[in-house]
Amino acid sequence: MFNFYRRIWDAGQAMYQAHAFDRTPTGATLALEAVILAAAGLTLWWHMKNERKGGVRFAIAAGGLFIHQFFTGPMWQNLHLGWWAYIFQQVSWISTLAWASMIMWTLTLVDRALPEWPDWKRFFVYLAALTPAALLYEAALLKLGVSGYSPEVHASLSGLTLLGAPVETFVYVPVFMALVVAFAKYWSFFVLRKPVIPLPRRPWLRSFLVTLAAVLIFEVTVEPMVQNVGFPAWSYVFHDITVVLTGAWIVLVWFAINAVDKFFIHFSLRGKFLAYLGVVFAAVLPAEIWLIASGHRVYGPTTVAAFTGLHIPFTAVPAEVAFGIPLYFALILSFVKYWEIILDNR
Amino acid sequence: MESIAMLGFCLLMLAVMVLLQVALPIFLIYKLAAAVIRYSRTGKLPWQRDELPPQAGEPATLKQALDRARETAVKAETAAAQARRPEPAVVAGEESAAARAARAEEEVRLAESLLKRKRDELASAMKEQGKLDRLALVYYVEASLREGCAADAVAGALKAKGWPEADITAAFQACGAAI
Repeated sequence: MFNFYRRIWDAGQAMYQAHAFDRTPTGATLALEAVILAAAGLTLWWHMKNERKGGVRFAIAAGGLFIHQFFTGPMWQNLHLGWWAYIFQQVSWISTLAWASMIMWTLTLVDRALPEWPDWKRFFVYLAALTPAALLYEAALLKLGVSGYSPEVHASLSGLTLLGAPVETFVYVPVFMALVVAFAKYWSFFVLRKPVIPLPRRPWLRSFLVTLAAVLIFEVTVEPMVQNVGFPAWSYVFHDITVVLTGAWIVLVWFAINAVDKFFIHFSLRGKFLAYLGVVFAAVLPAEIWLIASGHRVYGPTTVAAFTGLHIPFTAVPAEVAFGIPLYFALILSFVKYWEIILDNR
Repeated sequence: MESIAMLGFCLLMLAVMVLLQVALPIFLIYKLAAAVIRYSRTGKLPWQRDELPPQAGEPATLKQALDRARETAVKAETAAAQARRPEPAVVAGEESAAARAARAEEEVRLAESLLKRKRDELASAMKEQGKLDRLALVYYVEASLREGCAADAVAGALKAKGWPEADITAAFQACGAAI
């Protein structure tokens, strides 16, 4: 056990030295952090007072956001926030709180302003409201020198900006917020104990189409981080997103959800979710190990540089892959199930 | 400062391994100790549950347990609100507002325990019969009634989704509710 801790310490020291970046705060960044913390405190306090299980739902939104920040961490830079602001490499908990506050206010205000609208329509309103807010926030961070992008992300940008932020924000924010908002809303059903109607027959085609959307959204959010290499030329549909691999993930997620919903129909939302994740993880981990070993999956230089150097036992596959799989599939699965629930429970 | 940042990196990335190598052994030892102590006191093995003492007027059906849980929850809320107000001097022999609130909370806990027991009994019976889909219906009916939905509306929603009439009726009967 002591050896284990020593290895952690040594790995951390080596990683810290290898991934050093400028944490030195400026007066402006300190002021920004103070504003964010005050806003997050106000958000949490208000939701705890005025919304059912407001505190728990805030934590869920922050958790979903953190999942996304964690596995896309190598794509972004977060500088000058001070040593206290970072949880892991350049992932900042202060940034998590800022985004979570934005999400919670958006969900609450839209739900209160449009209570008669069906959930599926309100979902798009959430995204429409979050996008300009995110653009302003990102523009502020870029102006203060806090935010930055990896070389792989820079290579995918057009160079056009609005208020100093890349115009691609208008595409990227709705895409990743779709996953995070769906995660927050799915788990709010569980926390609020909303009745979710069981189905006597699975809607296979609808389920497939929703899964297709979820996996494609995810692939777009992580596209700069990893290259899919060696697949047939005809299979590449957008940059290096290939129908062969993406199609395999779609079929796997679709199968996991439908099998669990059919044979474990009596499970709670939480029980089913863990079952989906278990089925997916059991299939995806060996697949990822093979893809990396065979050279079909090549992580970008910035992503590789961010790895700790620890590997899955008996393989040469980075430990981050094993952690990443349940994290990003948690977002994909919650998106699919959220949409199925709101379409079935109108 | 640097060492704290390093520790932050490590703890997050390897939290699962720490849980497995540290927390899990401690948890297992704790559970074993708790099981040994319980066995020495009650003679019960870990999988043998404690029986709730028989309650006067114990609800016979899931619906009755649910109604009782909701009534006690409403009473507890009222008692809690009264306890928060400034209280006049308590007359000798009368219960204070705080004591009433505490008693109401205790009744809520008891009602929730009874509801959970009824639900578990129903679930065990249906699992033994292999009627998992009917169990899912029972859970949905119970959750909907708990939200305050009308029984007719719940039955209508299930019918609209294609559930057979017989299954819907059986689910309501299992709950002790009427459509």
